[in-house]
Amino acid sequence: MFLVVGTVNDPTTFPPPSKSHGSHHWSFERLLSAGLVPLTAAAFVSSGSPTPLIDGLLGLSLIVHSHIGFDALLVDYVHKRKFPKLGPLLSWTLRATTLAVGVGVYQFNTNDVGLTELIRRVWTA
Amino acid sequence: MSYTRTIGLGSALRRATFSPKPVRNVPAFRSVIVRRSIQTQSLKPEEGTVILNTQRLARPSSPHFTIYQPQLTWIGSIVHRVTGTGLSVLLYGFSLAYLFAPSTFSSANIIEFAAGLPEWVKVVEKTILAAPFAFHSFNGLRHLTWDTGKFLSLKGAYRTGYAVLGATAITTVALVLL
Repeated sequence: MFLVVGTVNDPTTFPPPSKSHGSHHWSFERLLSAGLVPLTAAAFVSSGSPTPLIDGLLGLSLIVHSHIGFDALLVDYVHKRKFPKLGPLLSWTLRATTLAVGVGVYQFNTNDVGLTELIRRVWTA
Repeated sequence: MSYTRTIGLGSALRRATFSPKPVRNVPAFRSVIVRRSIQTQSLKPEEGTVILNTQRLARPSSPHFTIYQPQLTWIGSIVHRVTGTGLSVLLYGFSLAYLFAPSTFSSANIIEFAAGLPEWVKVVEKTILAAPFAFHSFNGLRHLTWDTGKFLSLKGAYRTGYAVLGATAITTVALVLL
């Protein structure tokens, strides 16, 4: 395990450029976060409607928002630079989990009452 | 000191110490001097790095959280992360539970379970859900205003921080009473 690549006098390497990271990625995150506010309000107002499009959109947005959040935790605390095996393993575990969660929310929204309606009913139960 | 003088070694020691180098370094004399017990080992630069990194791993880590005064700035920051993670874990947990056991975690079952709880448990649980949701939402908006370049000063951070705390308190109470 190398905490320092090369000797202590060598500079750190520059991360390779990636189109999915950087300013576009950042803007997408902000847009998503800001969008959650009207989406949440709209979902509760329209909850129980026969075409739960907004509820589905809210579910998808919350999953992506959560995935980005969990990914930020992994980048901060279990980075592959320091954890060459555990870091990538957890990243892939997160991706698989997020996919499964997506399927779960889809199932719940199509076969049951949907996330917003569930929260609304449990809250006044 | 007086010991050497009584035995009469004083002058001999002085002579040995202050005598010129060539005299001390005669081959016959050298074999009498005890060999150094420390052994040196020649290493390649990579091997040196390995030793250096092993030492780094064994280094004590300096205290970080505990040496700082609790302040609204950084407490608010970590609470934002903790509340967001908590809410996301709830979403992920429920979705996975429903995916693998749809009949157990159906809405009807959950609502029936929630309805059967004592009144005070309902209030506590609603608070536990509402407070993180309210805080993370308002603090998220605070972050978004920072992203537009506004309130990026110490005063701005505190004013918006207190505004978030106030809004969180009011919203939490309102949601619990809902």
